[in-house]
Amino acid sequence: MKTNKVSLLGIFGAVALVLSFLESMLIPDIPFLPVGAKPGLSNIITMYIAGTMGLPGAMYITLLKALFALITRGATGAFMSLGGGVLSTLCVCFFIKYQGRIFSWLGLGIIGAVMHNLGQLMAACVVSGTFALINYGKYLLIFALITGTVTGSVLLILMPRLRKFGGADYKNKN
Amino acid sequence: MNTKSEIGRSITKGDIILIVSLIVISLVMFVLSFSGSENLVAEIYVDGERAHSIALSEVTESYTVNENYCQLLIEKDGVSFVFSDCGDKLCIKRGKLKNQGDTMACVPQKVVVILKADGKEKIDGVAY
Repeated sequence: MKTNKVSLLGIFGAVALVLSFLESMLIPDIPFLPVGAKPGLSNIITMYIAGTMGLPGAMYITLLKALFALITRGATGAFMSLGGGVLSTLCVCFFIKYQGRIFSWLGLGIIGAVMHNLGQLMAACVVSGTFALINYGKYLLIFALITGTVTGSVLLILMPRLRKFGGADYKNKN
Repeated sequence: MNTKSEIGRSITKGDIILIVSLIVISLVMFVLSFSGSENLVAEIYVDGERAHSIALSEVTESYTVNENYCQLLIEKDGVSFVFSDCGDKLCIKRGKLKNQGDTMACVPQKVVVILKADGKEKIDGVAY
């Protein structure tokens, strides 16, 4: 791996961790929001890396987030972070392969958010051993639509501007 | 710059189809699950096994159930977590379950509560 990729991954990994920490502080306990749902701001970083460096870089960010969850929230938190992160990263990278012919960043953001929630819910089913927990998915699906639209819109606006500075494609650079 | 790696700058047809279909799916899920709060049975799963099955209509006085360091309050109109020995207390913040299909879990403690409609009610009606 090229040196600049290593250092960029380090920087963006740190940004992702700070974002996920900040959002856990920012979210008040609003009664009508599904319990345990988070806006997933750090997914902006994961998707940005997925778009610029591809699957290996994005998976690195995902694993880093899971490790952070292991330290701060324990094994259950890490397992749920991993379940959601791996599934959503795989799906988003799969659709990025289609080079935006099917979905723009908006659609990719929504796919990432929905898959993240689905993965976490499946992880919760495995940990608790109760498959019927999947019922909770209907609340999470609506929430994921909203948060996915937010993260997707950020990338939709950001990427063309970053491209001007050469910050939108690290694949073909040394 | 290779144009091939550029993901669409503007919203595509696929985006619209995705959003609309997800909205429809979530609406359908809500309509299917919303069927009132009559004759509810609270099923409490511990470690993946069903530990309790409580018909809420037969509850006259509120009482608590203790499982895996969690305390659940069983009331006539719903079930809620009142204590749990877990990290984030999300289960307590969820509040009281009242409607059919409502689900609540304390994942770290492996305690799950699901409200279901009482399927036996109709059969009892025939037997009477």
